[in-house]
Amino acid sequence: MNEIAIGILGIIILVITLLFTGLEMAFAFAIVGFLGFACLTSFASAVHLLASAYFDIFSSYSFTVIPVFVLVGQIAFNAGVAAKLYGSTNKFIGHVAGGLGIATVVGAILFKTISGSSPATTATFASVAVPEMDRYRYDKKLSTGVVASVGGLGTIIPPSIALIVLALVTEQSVGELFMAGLVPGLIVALFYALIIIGWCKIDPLLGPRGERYGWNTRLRSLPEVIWIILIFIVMLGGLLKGIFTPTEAGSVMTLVVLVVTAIRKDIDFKKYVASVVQSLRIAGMVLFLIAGSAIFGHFLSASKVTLVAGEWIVSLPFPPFVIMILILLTYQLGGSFIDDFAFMILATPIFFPAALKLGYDPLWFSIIIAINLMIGSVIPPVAMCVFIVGNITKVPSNIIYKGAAPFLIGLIVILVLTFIFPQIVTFLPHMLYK
Amino acid sequence: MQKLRLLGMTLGKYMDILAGIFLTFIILLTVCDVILRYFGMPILGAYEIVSLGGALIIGISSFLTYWKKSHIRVDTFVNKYPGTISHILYIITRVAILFIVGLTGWGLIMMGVDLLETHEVTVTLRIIYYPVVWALGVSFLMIGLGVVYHMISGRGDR
Repeated sequence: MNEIAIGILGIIILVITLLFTGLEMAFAFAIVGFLGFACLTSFASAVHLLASAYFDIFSSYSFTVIPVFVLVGQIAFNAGVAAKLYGSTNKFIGHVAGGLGIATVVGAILFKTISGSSPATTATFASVAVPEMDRYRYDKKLSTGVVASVGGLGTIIPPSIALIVLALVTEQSVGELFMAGLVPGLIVALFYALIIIGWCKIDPLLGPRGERYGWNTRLRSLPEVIWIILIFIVMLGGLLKGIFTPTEAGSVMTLVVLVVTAIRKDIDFKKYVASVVQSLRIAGMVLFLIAGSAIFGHFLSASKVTLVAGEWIVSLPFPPFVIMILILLTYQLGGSFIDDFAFMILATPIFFPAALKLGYDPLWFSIIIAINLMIGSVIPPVAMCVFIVGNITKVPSNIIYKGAAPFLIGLIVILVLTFIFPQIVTFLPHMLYK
Repeated sequence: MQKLRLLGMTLGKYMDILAGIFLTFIILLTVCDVILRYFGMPILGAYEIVSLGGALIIGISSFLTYWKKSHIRVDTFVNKYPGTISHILYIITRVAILFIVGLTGWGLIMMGVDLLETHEVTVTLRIIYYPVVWALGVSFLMIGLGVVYHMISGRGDR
């Protein structure tokens, strides 16, 4: 059996193992990668690969950004920052038709600026925003659909964990990728708000008007928002000016958020410990996945499958945009069966070089993949955000899917727009970094 | 069995505390470095300490990450298998994990021995870092203990 055949066999075995055995993905990647590498080289080299891959990744300065950014999100989550942000935005726009839905979108964006985790955002807003919308008799379709959809915003709005991982896997600048995700993220949010307004115009019973607050109350709630925006600006500005590395930006953010929430008595020692423990679990899961994928990636490189696959993709007799659509469909299909995030880690080292050969901008490709992840989080069969909302609100999945469908159209529109106008993604990082 | 479970949880808890202290430490060190750098007095070797600290954080906490089943897995089909098949598959997958974490742990300890023999140190602070590699190796072997416990206690979700 030649090297390429072994590589292809390895991929088939991996897919079967992942789908049908219930083996944890991080270990499945490592086991198949190890066995394949041992077949191609030697048992001793494969053991050396295992040890060096885990040590190199766990002790890499670049990868320390992951636990740090996860921790700041968990602190914000446990300190109840999201509820205050939602309360503030609600006071400004809650009184218009569908206003509580729009407040959820704006509140989620603000929360995303300090939390890189989509599940945390979805869970928080499912328990904060949905009961409030229930109080004003919002239709469950709208209330749960909007919450399931805004959770995905964290995939492209910095400091997104998915973008950090994409930057590390593709060896791009985390700061540049953050900048690249900012404009598309805000456009998606704008689309979401317009969809809510339009939907409530068509059917006013979906989102009745909420309470109207006076300007005095509104202005008094503003400090809740301002400090979050200030931290975000300092983080992005520091990255942009080269004052901070991503790990430093995350550390400064963590300390500031911790100090501010502690002064306001929103977090105590117990909650801090809980935040640390939760971030250890998430960071461990992500880093084991990356290390496992790196081992599998070494095996694929040794088998030359990545090289051949890249050349084959580029030589397909279709225009580049058709190939790109096929790549996105592959991500969507793979993510449906395995897990969107895990599939992204697995597939990006294969498709990223091909995308570059096709002439696509690396930042653009990464953001397109991130938008694809957002789509994956609200469509069956593995719709993580829908599952979380369903679990917390006890609303049946079919209602949440129906509610998320209009927002899905918004995501597809932004995907098409970024295809036609890649500058939506590239202009900000290119302007600021070059 | 209950005592074993308690032992595992207690051990994991203390390892988490240690990892949490390291995480808090590297954050504080990094912030101090940023502030002092602004005044022209950066902390020498801060990146090295953070890197090695990062390895310890993930390594030490990996036992409980496995124990608490925090790793992603696909259970769509597995949940539909009959009990016996599901049980056999569970045992096979645990043996596979045991195999890989055992080899990795052993590989890391051997790597540490090499670093010890060659007196390998970090570039800036010249820290002897084989103990970190050993700690990581031991962490993998600890995951193995967690796997064995899950196998004999049948605590795996099938």
